[in-house]
Amino acid sequence: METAVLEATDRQKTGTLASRRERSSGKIPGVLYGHKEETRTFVIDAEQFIELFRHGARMVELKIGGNTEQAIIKEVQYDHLGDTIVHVDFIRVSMTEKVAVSVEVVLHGTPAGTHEGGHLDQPIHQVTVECLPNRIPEKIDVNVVDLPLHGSISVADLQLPEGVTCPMAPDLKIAIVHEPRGVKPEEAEGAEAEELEEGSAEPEVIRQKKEEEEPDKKS
Amino acid sequence: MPLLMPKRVKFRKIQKGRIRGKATQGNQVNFGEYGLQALEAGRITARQIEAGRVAANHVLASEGRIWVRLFPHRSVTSKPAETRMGKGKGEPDHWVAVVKPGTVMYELEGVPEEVAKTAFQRISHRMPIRVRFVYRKHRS
Repeated sequence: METAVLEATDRQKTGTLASRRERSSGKIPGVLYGHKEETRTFVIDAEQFIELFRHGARMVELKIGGNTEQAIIKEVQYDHLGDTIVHVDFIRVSMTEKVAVSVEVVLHGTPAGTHEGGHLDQPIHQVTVECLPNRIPEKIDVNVVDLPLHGSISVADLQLPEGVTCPMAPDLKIAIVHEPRGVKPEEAEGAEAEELEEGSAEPEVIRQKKEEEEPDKKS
Repeated sequence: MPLLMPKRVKFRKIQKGRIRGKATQGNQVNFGEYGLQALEAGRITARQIEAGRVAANHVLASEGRIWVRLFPHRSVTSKPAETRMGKGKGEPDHWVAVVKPGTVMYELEGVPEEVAKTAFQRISHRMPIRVRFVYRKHRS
């Protein structure tokens, strides 16, 4: 994966109000830490960051006030609706030390098992990989065309690029083809009719037990 | 399937309260591929939650998988009709889930996008608040 270059400006003021002002002027507040060096707070251009983040950039060359720092994007915080990026964490990396990052797993093809009525389930969408910062894969492609009904692909079956390892448990399932678990339409209709009759029952109140015990103690 | 309701509660009746703020948790699609996100704050009754689930299941038939990420934890009381005011708080009438803007209420997986959109549209007609269709975000 290529290293993206990102221009950053040191932040003079921190806190909610200052950050809000920066966001309204098209900037994103960020922080850089790690490697037992000084923590730096800065702002980056929102448009520039969003563009490179959408293109799958992980490694970033941060240019802050004349200095250049090698970092990876550690965490991206979104607003409550998940639309706007509100803050970005970067962590310093050394190009000779391995890092652990989560990488997306993309399934390709329609499994053979689905033609027999099976349903493809993907319990894990991202896996953690360990590698050198310049070897972080953009995504891990998995071909599921030959997967039969009740067949599965686990972490051990992943074909990782050279120099990349996965520390996760090898028996963790990435993709499974199983029989559909959904409710049949007839059952759903029955449930609808049933629910209209129910709804008057009350839950048990936790405190009632103590009240019942207390009179016994007095007597 | 009976209506959702807690098994045990500490208090039968609780004060009404106000719904303030935005969803800081439960605001991402975590289980399925598609989600239905609340855009407003509101109370969703157990009946509405169940109606949404049943409506989605009609569309899905036996395909895919649905997650209901709401649970009605709060009781709402009401007084009987034609009753004079006073004489204490009414009796628990129904159960509601409190929803804040951003909450992902339902999730779907294992169906094409068009089917998921249809299912969520049916659910949205049964919701008392504005909602929208969202995708799982592949974040680093």
